[in-house]
Amino acid sequence: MFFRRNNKSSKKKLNSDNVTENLTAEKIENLFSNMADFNKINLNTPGGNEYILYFLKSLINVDQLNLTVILPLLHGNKGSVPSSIGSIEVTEIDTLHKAMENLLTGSILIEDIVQEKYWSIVIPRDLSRSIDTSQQESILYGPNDSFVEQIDQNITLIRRRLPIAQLKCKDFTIGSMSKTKLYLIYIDGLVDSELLKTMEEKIRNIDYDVFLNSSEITSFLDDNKNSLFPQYQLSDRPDVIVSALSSGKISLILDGTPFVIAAPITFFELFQSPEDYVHRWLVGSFLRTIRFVAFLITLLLVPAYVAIATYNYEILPLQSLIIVLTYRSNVPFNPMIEAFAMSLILEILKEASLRMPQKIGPSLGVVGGIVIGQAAIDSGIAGPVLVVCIAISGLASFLVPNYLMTNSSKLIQFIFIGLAGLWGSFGMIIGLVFLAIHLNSLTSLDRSYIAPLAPFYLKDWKDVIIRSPVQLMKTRPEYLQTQNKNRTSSTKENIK
Amino acid sequence: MDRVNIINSKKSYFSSKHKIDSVMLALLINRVQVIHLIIFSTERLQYPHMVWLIILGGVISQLNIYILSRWLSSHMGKKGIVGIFDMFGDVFSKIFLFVWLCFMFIKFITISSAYIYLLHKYLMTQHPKTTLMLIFTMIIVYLASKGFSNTLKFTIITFVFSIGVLFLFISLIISSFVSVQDVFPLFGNIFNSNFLISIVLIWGIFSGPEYLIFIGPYIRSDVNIPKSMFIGNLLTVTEYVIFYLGTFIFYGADFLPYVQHSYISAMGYLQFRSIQRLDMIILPVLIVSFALFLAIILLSSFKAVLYIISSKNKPIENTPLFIIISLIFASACISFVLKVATTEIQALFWNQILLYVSIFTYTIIPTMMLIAFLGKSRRGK
Repeated sequence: MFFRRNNKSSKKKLNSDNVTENLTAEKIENLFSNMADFNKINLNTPGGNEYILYFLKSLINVDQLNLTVILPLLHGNKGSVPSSIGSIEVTEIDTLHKAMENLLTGSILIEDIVQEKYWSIVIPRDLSRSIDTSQQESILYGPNDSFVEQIDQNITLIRRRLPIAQLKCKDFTIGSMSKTKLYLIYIDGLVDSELLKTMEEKIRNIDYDVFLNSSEITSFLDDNKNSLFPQYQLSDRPDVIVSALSSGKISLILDGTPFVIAAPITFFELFQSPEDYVHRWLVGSFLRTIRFVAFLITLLLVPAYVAIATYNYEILPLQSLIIVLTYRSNVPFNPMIEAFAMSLILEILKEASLRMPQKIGPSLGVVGGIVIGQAAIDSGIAGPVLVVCIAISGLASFLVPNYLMTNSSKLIQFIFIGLAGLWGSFGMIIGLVFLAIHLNSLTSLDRSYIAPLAPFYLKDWKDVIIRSPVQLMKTRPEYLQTQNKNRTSSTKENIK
Repeated sequence: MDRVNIINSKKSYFSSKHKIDSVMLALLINRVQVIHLIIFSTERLQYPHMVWLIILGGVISQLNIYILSRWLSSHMGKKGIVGIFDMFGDVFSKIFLFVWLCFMFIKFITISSAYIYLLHKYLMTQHPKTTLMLIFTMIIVYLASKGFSNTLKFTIITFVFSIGVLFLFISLIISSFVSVQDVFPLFGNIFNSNFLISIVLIWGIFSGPEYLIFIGPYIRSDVNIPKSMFIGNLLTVTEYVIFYLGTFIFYGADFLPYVQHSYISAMGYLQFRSIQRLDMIILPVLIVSFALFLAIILLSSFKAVLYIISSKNKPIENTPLFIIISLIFASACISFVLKVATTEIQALFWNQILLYVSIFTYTIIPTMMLIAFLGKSRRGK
């Protein structure tokens, strides 16, 4: 109750927005007092007009202000501001709330003293960086451009690839303080209307003050907030997002972040990479299969070592068992502690290499890989077989293209190590069963997370583990329930 | 057409917004039947020609399956438990549900303890049965807590997990050191002294689908229920025949009568060059089929309790009640393995009880449905 009351009062304070309060110069100056970047310019024109310009210098394009606002006003006739400026959209403002909103989003406010009117003109400062290659999802062959922090530039990157009028873009503003722009993009006539409705409803229910990155939104959109698995795809590659849109998915672009959200996703889609479609289909399928195997190795290899070294000796043939146990005989800890310790060291190394300056990173890899690994064996902290297992599972974890999934799989591995230490192979299977039940019940935007396995869609299996030739993938995924299921135009079932 | 995606409805355990398709229904029938084979095995059938008895059992089971499928396809069956009220009336329905609940309770306890018995005997000898039972019931409750739709959807994963066992078994029976002549003679007198025991056993191993009488609301309207259930039963018959003949090929007709739990012990002989004891993986993997069936029973029991304690139209569904019922079932299972089924003889005794309960329910439920149907249609005329 205490917190609830507190929340209410804070909300009231933040929302005391003077929504209908009349606009006066004094009120504007009071509102923006103690703001060093707040500017006020008096402009007396030769034509006898008097204007006062209010703006936040940090948010507007000063060159554009001079060229497109001040100069036309100075040389303008006695008419109103819109007729003097002409080329740019000018909006009349009548409340303090609107004035504040516009000033804080890169507009200037013009007070026409003679006519006693206020006008707003949008001239935001362009802070976008140049389009760079994707750092997170780099591929060898294929497009190299990636999204940037500027929302309109991101839309441009998508529209260039999908020059169709059906590509719709609805705008929302989220964050009571950050007022962050959010675009919902979809292809009209393709996307399931139910899906769109669900997403819009979820967006409208978002209630938070500041949004700085896409992951913050996904936590509001997630169907299961406690799941370890990402329920939305984050990508900074325009080709990935365009591919998702053309499949009948929905995309969300948040201003200020280069990571665009695509939804819904399935568990199997997390293993897909744009590069799969660059290679020959057999090679692409092979690479994808390796990723699935690598995921299983990440989850199960180290726990299997623990299970074998603790309970299930008989699983291995005698020669292999001798190797494992001989090297382990010098280790004073039980296999579970040994595996926990070494996995933890690997995670520490990974985290350290992420946080360190780029030039030191490779050196750290050498220190971690050779010195710590070898030293751990020599000092008897860990057996060499475990070090090999840890190294293989560590490498395997990076094969999953989705980095969020990589980290989730490492956490699951720790749980599995614990279960294997407690109950051997039975414990591992228990872990897998719990995982399977969880995945089975998980949804992304109300769609089954493990489609096309359950519900079973036979046609969708053309692009799950095997990446069939593109010519054979003539239909869109069935689980998306798209309005137009065919990708080919020969069916005459065109987008409405 | 109904939407086929199944969502995790947080509002209801019984949300039927998203439904199962024909593939899931067929596999569900197959999986709930197969767990009975794992528990009872077939070594007591003794003669290879008894395979015809299995096929005959499958054919008769098909009749039961047909009656159940007619119920699930009917207007009343599609309403699930509400359909029971429509059929029997308020008072008789509550009596029926109470008796039904008792059987589900017995079935839940005996099946879970039978699996724990096998697990303890063949793999986890060093761990107390109570711990194993606790873990097992946790899995069941966790699966059931995801709701009826998600539990039924879990059928596909169950099938994927456990179908490998059949393939491994086939690889075992085609390995080099076994002799095919042990399956002969395939023709002989099936009406021998062992006939009654055999028919009872076979009827028992085909049971299971009668516990699915409440799943009507969760089946898509475009599913051909009789066809799907027929395929499911057919899969079971095929699996049983392969397994039964396989045990003869593998163990030999002379040795087989001395084998206990032929299904499980055969797995002890499965091995590859790199993995020598595959049963250490397979036996825990079988847990998924048991968990699926028992989660369905738990949810059906929960639903039955809801309708017994409240009126037909206003069942008060809530999580605390689900937790209470789950705790009752779990603690009953733990007490059972702790006090009642502790020795080998007691375990075998309860296996027999489970067999008779299975036979009884697989006979009575479809018969009741048939009689009620006939009565209803006669009244309609």
